[in-house]
Amino acid sequence: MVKLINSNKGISLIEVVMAMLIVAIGILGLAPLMAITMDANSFSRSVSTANSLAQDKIESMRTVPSFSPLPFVESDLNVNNKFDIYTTIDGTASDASVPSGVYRIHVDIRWVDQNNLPRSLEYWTYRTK
Amino acid sequence: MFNKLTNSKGMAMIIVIPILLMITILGISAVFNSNTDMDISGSVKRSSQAFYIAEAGLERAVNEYIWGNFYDENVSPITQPFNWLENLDDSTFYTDVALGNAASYSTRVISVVDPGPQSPYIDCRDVTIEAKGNANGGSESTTLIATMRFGILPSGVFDYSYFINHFGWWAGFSSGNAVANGNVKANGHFDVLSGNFTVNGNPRFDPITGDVVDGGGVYAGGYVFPTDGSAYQGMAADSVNRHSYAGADRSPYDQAITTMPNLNDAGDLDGDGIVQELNPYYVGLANGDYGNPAGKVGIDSNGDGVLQPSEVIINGAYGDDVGETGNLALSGTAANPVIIEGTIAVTKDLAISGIVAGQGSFYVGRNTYVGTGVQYQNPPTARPNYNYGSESAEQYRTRVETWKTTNQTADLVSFMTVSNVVCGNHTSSSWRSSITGGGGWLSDYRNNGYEDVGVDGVFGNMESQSNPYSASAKEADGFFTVSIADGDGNQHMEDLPISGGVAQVPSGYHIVPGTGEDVDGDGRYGDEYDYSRDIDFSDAFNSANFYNLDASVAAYSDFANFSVNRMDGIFYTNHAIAGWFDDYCQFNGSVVARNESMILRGPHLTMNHDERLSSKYQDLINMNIYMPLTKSFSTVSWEDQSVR
Repeated sequence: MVKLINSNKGISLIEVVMAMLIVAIGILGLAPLMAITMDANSFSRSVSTANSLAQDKIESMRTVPSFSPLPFVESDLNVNNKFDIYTTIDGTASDASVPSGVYRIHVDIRWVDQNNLPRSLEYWTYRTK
Repeated sequence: MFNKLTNSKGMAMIIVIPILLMITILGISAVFNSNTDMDISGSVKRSSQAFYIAEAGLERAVNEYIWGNFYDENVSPITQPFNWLENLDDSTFYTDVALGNAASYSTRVISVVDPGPQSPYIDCRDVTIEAKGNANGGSESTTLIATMRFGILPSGVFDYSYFINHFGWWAGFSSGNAVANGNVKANGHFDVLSGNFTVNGNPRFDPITGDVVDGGGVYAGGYVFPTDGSAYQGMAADSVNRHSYAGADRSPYDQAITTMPNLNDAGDLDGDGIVQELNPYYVGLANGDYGNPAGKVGIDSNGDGVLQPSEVIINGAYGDDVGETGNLALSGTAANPVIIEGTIAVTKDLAISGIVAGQGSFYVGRNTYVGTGVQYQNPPTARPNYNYGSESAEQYRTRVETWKTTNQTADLVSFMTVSNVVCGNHTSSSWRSSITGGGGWLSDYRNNGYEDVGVDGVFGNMESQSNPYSASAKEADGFFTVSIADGDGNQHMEDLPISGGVAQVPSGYHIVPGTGEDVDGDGRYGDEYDYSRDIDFSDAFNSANFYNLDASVAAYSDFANFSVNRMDGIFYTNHAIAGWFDDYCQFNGSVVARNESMILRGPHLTMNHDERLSSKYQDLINMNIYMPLTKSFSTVSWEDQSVR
């Protein structure tokens, strides 16, 4: 064992440095990929959050007995320091294209992603008056 | 080989490559992971979009199409009100209809079945609907299967001691002088303009589940004014017992509004072109055409308390046969009361006075004239008033049920009137000057049933708390704004131009009665209605024109007093209950009007709701009382059958 170590020229400092350099270059090559992955992760996290915010909003709009006057417009800004929720309720009184007997609920969730790009998700449904 | 093995050159390569490989795999798997995350979050998004769009398809089919048509097709509960519903079986309403830009819905009917009588409906059908939602850009979809029950049921308006479909007003009563024992409601605003109003309401119970709905009190489709409650006494002094539904759209779709029944022949079932007359259904009901016993009414001449065959004056309907004038006069005394058993239809005017006994309903095609008052010979015992604050709703219900059982056979008479309930001697000039005359209460445009009052169907602005008397949308715009429907059941609101007092309906369409500005529910623009004229008898008040009127009666003043002293019974009218009332006049039963109700003389008034009216329909039928019906729907089951 002792002899072996002694006789081995071993991994020289230069080799180690070279290896690290190559690994570093390799990692650097993967870096953009990681950035994209992180962006994507962040986006899908935002979509999930926006989705549940929208569901919460629609469900809460279902429990309101009636809306007056129409259109009923509500903005919740900077929810979770990120999302703006725009809710619009219409009925025949405000928009003739809404079928009679129901309210039309439109929830539009907007946010700005980490690359400063505007993003939005929209949900539409009808609700019994 | 050994040389090579011992040579350490290239070791870096050997070490670096696996490391790089590992990093690459990690990187790629991270990408895959985040890709999957993206897919999942996108899928979650599309799934919920699909879910909400499926709900949209379901809600639209139920509310707009099925309910709208069911309501329209069957203006009255005629014998077969379900033909249209039954024909829906296996029909498709919508195919891939987009709402917004992300998803679309398809809706169809799977089955229509008759589940038999199901409380609170007298008759109903269960419609099972499939609604599918599909999101764009993915395979996500939602399939909802819902069963909705559409049926006819007793109208809820009789659950109140005082109910008005219009703007409800009270004014000028000092503390404790105007008392309602039982809940009160206006489908418009309810306003105590001045003075006080005492409401001793009671809890309401769901007719299906029996659960407590709320604690009772005063209800308004708009606001309960004054909003600080200062004018209210009794339980309504507590703000929780003043229920405002401002923002309700007042359409038959709106659950905050209690739908009025409609006695008019608005759908013109008999095809004579007259809509301001009694719906033939009620004539059939009186004649026993629907498997029910025919009604009879008479005077207990021998005073034995039983209506003998020789004492019967009218069997079933009067005015439906040739030679019948359609006007009937009935006057009872304590010794010889009027006795009613079952349903009586009078196609024109009914004049009634004095003591009545028995259980039954008058359906009157024009006006009911109450001469001196109407009083039960065998009234129920004192109404169980709710001990607000010291009694639970359950305890109250137990007391009410006991009271109902005790009073099952006590007198109960209803006066279901197409036009007006006229109380006291309306031929007197002082009566007229304050009620129908130039400055009279019923000539006031706020009370006269004027029909250009906006889509909310009520004078004033039902959504405004600050200015309830201001005009609402489309009020006084010169158009008659109502729902119109074509033969295929397509409905929409339209501003119909009024020309020469007649609303111009596009060909192929008809007005859906009771929608929008059709205040009196007759399906026509109301210029033809005029209190100063229509409060009068249609034929002169004499024994030639009024069947059973004593020939000695020369003028209406021989039959009626200036004001009435007692109002026992259920009073319903498509227009107004109008007249003078003595001091301490009592209303025992229920008072229900579309436009306007009561003008008073004495400073004291009490309204006692007859709790037998909040019974199940069958209990009332057992008492031979057939109440006007209305329609409704409810959810039986709802299931998300999506496979994800």
